[in-house]
Amino acid sequence: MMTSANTSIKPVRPWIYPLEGDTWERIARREFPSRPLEEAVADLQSWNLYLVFRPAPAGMTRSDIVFTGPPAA
Amino acid sequence: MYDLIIKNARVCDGTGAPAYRGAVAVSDGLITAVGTRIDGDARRVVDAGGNVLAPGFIDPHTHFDAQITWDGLATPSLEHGVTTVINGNCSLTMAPVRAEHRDFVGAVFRQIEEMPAAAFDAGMRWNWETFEEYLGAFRDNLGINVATLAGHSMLRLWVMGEAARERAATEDEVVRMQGLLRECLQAGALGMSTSWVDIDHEHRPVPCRLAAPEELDALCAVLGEAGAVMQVVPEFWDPDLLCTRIDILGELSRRHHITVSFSPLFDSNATPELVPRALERVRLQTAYGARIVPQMQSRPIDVTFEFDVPTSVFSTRPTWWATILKPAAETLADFQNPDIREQLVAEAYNAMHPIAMEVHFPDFIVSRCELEKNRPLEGRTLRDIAAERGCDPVELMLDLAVEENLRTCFSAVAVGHDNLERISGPISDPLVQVGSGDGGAHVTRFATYGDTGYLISRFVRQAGAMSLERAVYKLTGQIADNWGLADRGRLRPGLAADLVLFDPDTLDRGPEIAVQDLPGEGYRYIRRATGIEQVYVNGLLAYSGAQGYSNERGGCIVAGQGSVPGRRAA
Repeated sequence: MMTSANTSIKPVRPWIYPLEGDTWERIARREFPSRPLEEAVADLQSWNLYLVFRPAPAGMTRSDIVFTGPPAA
Repeated sequence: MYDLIIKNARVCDGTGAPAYRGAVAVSDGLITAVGTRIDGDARRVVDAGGNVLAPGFIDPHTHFDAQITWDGLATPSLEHGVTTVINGNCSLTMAPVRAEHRDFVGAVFRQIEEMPAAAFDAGMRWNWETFEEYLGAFRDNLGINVATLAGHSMLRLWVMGEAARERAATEDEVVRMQGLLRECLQAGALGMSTSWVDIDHEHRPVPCRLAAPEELDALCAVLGEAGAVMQVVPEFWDPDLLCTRIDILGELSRRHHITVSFSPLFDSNATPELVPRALERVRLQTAYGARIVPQMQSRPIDVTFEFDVPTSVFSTRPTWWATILKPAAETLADFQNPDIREQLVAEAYNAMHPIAMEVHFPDFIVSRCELEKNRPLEGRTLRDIAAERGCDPVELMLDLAVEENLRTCFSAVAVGHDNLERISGPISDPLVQVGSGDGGAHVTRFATYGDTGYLISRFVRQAGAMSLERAVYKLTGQIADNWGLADRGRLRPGLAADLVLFDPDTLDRGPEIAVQDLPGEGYRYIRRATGIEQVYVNGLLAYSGAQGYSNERGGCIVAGQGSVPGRRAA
């Protein structure tokens, strides 16, 4: 549940929390159902390099932020 | 009859109000009078000689969780005028920890806080499991006041066991974590800490990072019930990530009526826009009713590493990272493999800088050599030595590491957060709290002590960024307000007599030195203070610049607003 204040504050970028077991493909299908999968995955990864390049074995976690839009120009 | 009167002082009361010539009287561990003149007798009278008398400094971000169990003075913080340390930051605490999790918790703590294993193992008695038992293990030997947060990772581990490292919690497990957090708060925890950043000794996310957002929300609800605080480590190096985290914290703060503090707020040349953007976001969230406290350290970032321990300096260089995570023998082999060396050298000069640091390897100093024949290199830069030998500085670094079995120590100072012009404004900002010092951590890497004196030497005397009174407020009253330490942080009758007497013209941190004062074998880096005359903890003289530490043990466990009666100074 969001407080009314947060619904009034525009996020710096659109984002989501991953769900349990999420992969780039699953997120792409969920967030961009009408886009070609490979293209959507490539965009997602380019917007979240900190996750793509996170040193192994640390992967994506439920508390991570996944941006679903590009940074401001 | 007072126990103590300190007279002829420049009284700086911790509110930020103008200092004045006056005196402070103390009885039974409490301040009993403050004013321009105090009549009456005292068992002890101290002439301050015009030096500044202020509330004892409060260090809101320390990791003395292990050290405090064998060193009740949290040395050397006390000699820098710090009378209260807040432990348990970044989701890590030494309790609640079940016996079967001690090895894991110890390994994580040693990895993240860079505590030598020999010292940790020799010093830790581990004769507790619960939070209450942990506080009881050292409360009778305290020369400094200690407040402790309950670590979110420890709550998960206690309830979920090994699964805490692998998955989100079930609803039932979240409810049990809530109950455990309540127990910790009732036992004396100041609040809870969590992290969105830290990794364990196996380079996996610390347990709290596996938490679903609903879990953190549920735990914040418990903090709200108790009026307790939360500390968190966000992705502090990326402006968009940090601003998004600030929004999340704003939402948690408003929903549960809690104060949340994130640390650190770092400036770096890589992202000079980060601090202004983050502060703008905090201001926006504050305007909507959130209570968000960014913590900013006063000192620049120094880096020291050896190749026998993985260090985040290399985390953005994939070949380096893969190489140094291997067993030592394999790392040594890789360092001598021509193909891998070529990649390592290329990456050393061409990679993203690691978090908030500008790392230029040729500028690193050879700070300690294992072999006698290499000792003359100590104190010289790789660039300088390489030029003399006609080789590449990074090749030289690899050669030295191989020759010395990975034990050569390399250092660089001020690789980030060093721009006085950019930092002076934010660190003076009313919304920003001075903190993130990390006392008790990274002890084999660099000295984390003396940020208090450094704030005054650099930002009051050198930069003129704030008044002395403002700086004292930021080290005392502001932190007490933010963390709910209602009985400390100001010179006011009825409050605890935590006092520091110092020379405002010379107060500073000394040079970084290595000392061998840890249990077992091993050294650590510390800094001594200059300009500290006397430090009192709950009315007892704990340290004097002339005579060093006293034998008094006046410290206590400090709890916050959510504490149960009688728990504050048990």
